[in-house]
Amino acid sequence: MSELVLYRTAGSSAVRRVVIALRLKGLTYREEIVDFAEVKAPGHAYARLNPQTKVPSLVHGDVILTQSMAILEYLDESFPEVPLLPAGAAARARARMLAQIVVCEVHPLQNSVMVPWMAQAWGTPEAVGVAWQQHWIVKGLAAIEAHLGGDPYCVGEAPTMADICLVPQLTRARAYDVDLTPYPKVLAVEARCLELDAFRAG
Amino acid sequence: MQHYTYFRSSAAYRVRIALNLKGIAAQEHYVHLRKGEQTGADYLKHNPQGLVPALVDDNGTVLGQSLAIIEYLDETRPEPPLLPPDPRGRARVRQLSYVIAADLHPLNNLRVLNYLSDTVGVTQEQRLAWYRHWTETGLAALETLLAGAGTGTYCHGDTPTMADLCLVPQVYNANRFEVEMAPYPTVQRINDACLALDDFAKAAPDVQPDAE
Repeated sequence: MSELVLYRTAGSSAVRRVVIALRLKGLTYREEIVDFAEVKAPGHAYARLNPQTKVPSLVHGDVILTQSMAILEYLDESFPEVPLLPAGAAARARARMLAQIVVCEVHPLQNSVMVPWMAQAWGTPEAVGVAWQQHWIVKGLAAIEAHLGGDPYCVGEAPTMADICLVPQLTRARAYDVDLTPYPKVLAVEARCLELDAFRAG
Repeated sequence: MQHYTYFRSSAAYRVRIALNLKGIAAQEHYVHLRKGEQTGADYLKHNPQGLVPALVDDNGTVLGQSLAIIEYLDETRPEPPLLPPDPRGRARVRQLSYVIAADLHPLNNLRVLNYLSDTVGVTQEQRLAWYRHWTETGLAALETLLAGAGTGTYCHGDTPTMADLCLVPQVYNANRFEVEMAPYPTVQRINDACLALDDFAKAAPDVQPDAE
């Protein structure tokens, strides 16, 4: 089998999604640490792997992958053992929907780039920046809470992409002091996920 | 099939193109985002998040999130496919789609722009500068990725894929905000190729029954 190489930083939620997926599937991979101060320099070789100079990137033989959701889907298609999506089109769509609430509506707004950008461009006070991050996290978690039924995991009896995206987002929520008590179903799912080694990995 | 849509929503525009390409005659329900109809009790029954698009399939399945909807349509109505057959190609199409749907669009949609004005307290000019900055950052990434192997008449090969469904609404939006498109010739070329197709042209915001 071709080697899997994950390009990562320490604190990225998007990286953690891929780490969880790799570990759930029991795949062996090598890690390369990306230093943004270095790779954002013009002409740096990392930009050929990842033109957005973001993390994660995953290299599998001669296949170069970026965008965590595209990576999760690729891993699931290439290594179907321990599936990351449930059976049945409707359940699969629900898992993707919940994942995308995090990936397309929460994460991009509260990530480590937006608030510094506002502070630099507009002199936005730190408290306004934190309120911004909390606002989008709360909106997303409320949506996910409303969507969750009584399943052990987000959708069904096993972890899916939805759990893989949700759990790292909760770490960020705590870092921004978001009150999580209004989301008991979300917290129950998280507790169950954290019983698994793959979800505890950093 | 029922589709809850708003003419100017990029995410609903993506779904409209998918429905057209697959020849699905969905019954459309118009949700006026600027008037806040998406937070009405009747709408929240269909979509607890209060966003458009939402899709209700004939079997009662209720779905939100445009890319989840498009993947669902592709799994349940496979012809014509919106993803290529090989995992590498599928990963490339999803990568291009998420550059738009996860990195570019989320920063520039209406609720975010409103929050910037109403809560962060930025001026109209600052709001426009924000819009253009993140659009240009995203389009530049897209242009670089499209310069790589795999691009054909459309984003990936010579038939439209999910990536084109994301690209065209984003270019429509960029034009609305008068973003200079000259630095992104491949994005522009693919946009024009798509809009030459009826299924894309008929999904355009300006020709929707709820257009203003």
